[in-house]
Amino acid sequence: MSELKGWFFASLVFATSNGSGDTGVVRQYNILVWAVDPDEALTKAQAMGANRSSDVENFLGVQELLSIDGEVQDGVELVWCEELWV
Amino acid sequence: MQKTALAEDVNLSPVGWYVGEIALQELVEGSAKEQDLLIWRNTYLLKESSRQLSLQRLEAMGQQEQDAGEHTSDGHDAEWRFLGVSMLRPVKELPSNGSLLWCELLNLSSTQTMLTMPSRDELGVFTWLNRV
Repeated sequence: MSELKGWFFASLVFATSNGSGDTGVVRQYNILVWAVDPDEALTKAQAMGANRSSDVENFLGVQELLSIDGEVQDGVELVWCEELWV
Repeated sequence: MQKTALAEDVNLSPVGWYVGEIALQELVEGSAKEQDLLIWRNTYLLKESSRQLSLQRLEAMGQQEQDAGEHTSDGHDAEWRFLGVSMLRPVKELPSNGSLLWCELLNLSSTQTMLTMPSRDELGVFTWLNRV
């Protein structure tokens, strides 16, 4: 897995509430993570989600984790691609 | 007038980065699935000063794929057809470790979301690594 060292895209999902215990909408935060392999990226993403948890946003988990193909700093890079048969 | 200015701000990245997606149809000659449509959605991070320039850049990239001519897909001749820009969003924070690209509200309840949370092996990167 070492060839995947670099940037990852992660979607973190949170249940939001109004602070009175009423659950509301689900909010998705799409973030960048730099890691030496996918497992480290997942661990880091989970830690970031847990750190962001609060009274009004409860971290549910990592909904997606993708490897980025290229260096983010270059400006235009293919981040990920998805194949669909329709 | 003020309303217009606010509406424009929503589309402007404060850090000059955008995330955009182009949709391409792969036309594969002689494929067993020729009657089906094979669509690729390619996502890019773009460093641009405006949404309009990002849009133009994505359109140029899609057109370039289409104009590139034939390629080979699983041994079959194939070509790309550019379908259009399918997503474009301003990036919220300068790309770096832990930075937020964008945030969205999902039309799901938290219970539904919890029930459908993927396991480690169902996440895209692990699915790709475990492919046969």
